[in-house]
Amino acid sequence: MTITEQKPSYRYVGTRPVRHDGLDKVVGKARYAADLVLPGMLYGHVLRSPHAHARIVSIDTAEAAAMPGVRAIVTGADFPDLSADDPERNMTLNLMARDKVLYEGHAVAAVAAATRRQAKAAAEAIEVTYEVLPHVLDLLEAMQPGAPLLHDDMVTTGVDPAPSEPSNVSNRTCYERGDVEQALAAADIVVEGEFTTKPIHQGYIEPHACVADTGQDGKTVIWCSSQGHFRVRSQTAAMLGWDTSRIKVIPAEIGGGFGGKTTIYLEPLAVELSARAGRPVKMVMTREEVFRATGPTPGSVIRVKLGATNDGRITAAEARLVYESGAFPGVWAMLGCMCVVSPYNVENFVIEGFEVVVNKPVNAAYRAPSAPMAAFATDTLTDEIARRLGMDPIDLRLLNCPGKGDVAPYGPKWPLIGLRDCLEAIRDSEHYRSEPAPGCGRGVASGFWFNIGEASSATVNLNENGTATVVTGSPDIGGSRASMALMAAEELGIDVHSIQPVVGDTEVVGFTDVTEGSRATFATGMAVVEACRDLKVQLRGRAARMWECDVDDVEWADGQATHSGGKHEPLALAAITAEAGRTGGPLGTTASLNARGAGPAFSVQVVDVSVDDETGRVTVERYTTAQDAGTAIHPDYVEGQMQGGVVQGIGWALNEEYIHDADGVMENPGFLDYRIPVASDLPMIETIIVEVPNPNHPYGVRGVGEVGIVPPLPALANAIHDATGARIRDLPMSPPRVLAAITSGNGDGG
Amino acid sequence: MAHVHFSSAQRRLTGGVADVKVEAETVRELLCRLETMFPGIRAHLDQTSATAVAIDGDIIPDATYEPVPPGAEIHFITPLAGG
Repeated sequence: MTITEQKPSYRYVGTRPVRHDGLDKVVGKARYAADLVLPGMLYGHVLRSPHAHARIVSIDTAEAAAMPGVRAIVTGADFPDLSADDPERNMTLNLMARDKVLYEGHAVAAVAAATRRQAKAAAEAIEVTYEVLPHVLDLLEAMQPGAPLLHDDMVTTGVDPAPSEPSNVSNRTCYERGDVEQALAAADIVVEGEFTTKPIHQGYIEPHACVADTGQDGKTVIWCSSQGHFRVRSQTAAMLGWDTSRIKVIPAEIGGGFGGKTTIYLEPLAVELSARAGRPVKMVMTREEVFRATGPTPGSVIRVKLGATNDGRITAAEARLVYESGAFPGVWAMLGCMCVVSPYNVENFVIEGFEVVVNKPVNAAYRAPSAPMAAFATDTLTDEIARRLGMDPIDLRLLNCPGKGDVAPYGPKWPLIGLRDCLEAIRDSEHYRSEPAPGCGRGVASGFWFNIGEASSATVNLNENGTATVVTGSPDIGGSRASMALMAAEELGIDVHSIQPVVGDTEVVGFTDVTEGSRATFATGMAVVEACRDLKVQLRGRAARMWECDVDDVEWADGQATHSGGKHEPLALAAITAEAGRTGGPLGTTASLNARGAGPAFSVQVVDVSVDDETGRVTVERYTTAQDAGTAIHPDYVEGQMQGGVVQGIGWALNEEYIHDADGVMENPGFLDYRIPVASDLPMIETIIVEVPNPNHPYGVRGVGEVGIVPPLPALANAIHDATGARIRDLPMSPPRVLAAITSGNGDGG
Repeated sequence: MAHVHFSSAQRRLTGGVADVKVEAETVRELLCRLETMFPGIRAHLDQTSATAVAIDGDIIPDATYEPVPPGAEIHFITPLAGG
């Protein structure tokens, strides 16, 4: 179902054609990085730390180097030691430890050999002498004086006066408005709670993989799975100390990323091994390596206190957000601070955030990074307020809903946003208007994510038969090929399947930022539209030449040129391209831009659950999500993103967590023990696409990839409370935890 | 004149000043003016890895050469990362 406000009528945008890359993926023909085989190719294997925290005393590779099939070995000493103020230093130290290992799974050395088995055997033969150091896994313990320090030179920023001693707290941030103490004292009702979440993994099905082929000319070609091959190029260059012009990155198909493939782990190692061996090198992670060594999303401890009036207006918010960032500093708490009360207009607040390093893998982005944990706290407490006041939870949110011109908690005024429309869409849905099934509980929650713009490029070439090729630099991680083709079809007025959308490598298309922040259809789409509009100017010029008239007398509409005076029969695009060689040459153009005006995204969701009171198992019986897409370019893929976000949020809420033993070793690095939801766990996720067009995009696009994961955490917690009376403030709400909450009679909080 | 707002964390760089009005045509010029008002602040605000600039709510990661429209509302915020 789609609810639309003031949307123009389009011929192609908003339709649901079969995706251009669909057949290849369905029949197994699409090529992923792990599928690639080159002549003489070697296989790489990474030796990883067994310790959560240790000093590397020595590394002896002599025995390994002499083993059968071994062609090259690298350690941290084989890569440039970047200066302390280099922004890529931590990334490079994460890819290969230099002096210390900071988590179990941290890379220590890499081997290239003729077979996978030989590479693995040689890696295991490398003798590493460690001095094991005390480690810290818990983020609150890591903040305490005397906790084991990960970085001797890290001093907390954002504190005045600056501390004189190092700490595991990398940064403190704060947002304030009004007088929160006075507002809390004057509030009719005050609710508060502390909420915890565990690190969880993005759970993409395709492990990290790459092939690097470094030639004697000092140049390399990388085939890899990533969310942005230009970032792979720049990060690989930084790690190797190379100029980027020596590196070409060819994007393979991607089998899921969700933020986890916005950074790199293998590519520089493969390039250096290939350079030393003089042969191509393939590296493919196992699932266990993906869990142990690639970025999960942060664990968090978030305390929130809300004050409200008896009529349901939220007047005060006090929040303290602590996010762990893994072994190196991140920005996760800062992002959480900007999101924690964003779906609400609150006049008085103090929001304080702390970023903490611990001996775990370095965190990476995951769909709307940091927002779900923050929403878990706030939207659980707003549910408590609604219950205590006897208010409908949607009505409470509508009463406190921000709109255009209101000031967002992080400073700027909101532009046109669709939160109210999403709330009303859920309120008016058949799901919400019907009663939950007997024995079921119902929960509601809302969520916010910024969306971003950044740099994108597109090249559009018209072929002699009137078809078009659209080349962009955005890997297709969610149907963006189809979206680009639809926008080009709308502009040029030709059938969407007359357009071939291509993801180009770093040498055939202009620079394009990584696909993150729900930006591809927004920003890269904007570049496609700009290129097509330039082409239409060219097409009018060619028609003017063919008609021997002034270009101002030529108009372009519905895929054809028309003469304003009616002196000539219209010329279809194919008729003009067929003559292109005689009217000035091939028709093609490129557009590159830094997209401005990303439209914030909101989602509101309602879920019904049943809870087995003997086992604590939660079953999701019905789920409906409403999300403001701005404009849905291809509604199938908008709905797919909405459903995917919800499903990953359900996994986060109910089952997923990293489990470490006392030595800091991950105990569940596989999908048998790390439980993600599968189709049989879930009902059909019902979708309501809300369309409040973003005025800054030619078709009103906002971006849809992330915000859907934000509301499920509190929505499920609220539903479980409705079903059982138990308020659960710690994730995951797995059967043992739910059962304990039920049997302990933990029914506080309204 | 642009209206520049400082978050409470940034106010330690401004001696507690929450907002100022500054005449500037670009973000670079604005940062120079802020530096004369609050010595040392530019080193904190002029880092694309640490700070993005919101001009009338539009968050721009590397805004050095961006024009500042008359009456613009300016905020310095955390650069966004996404998944």
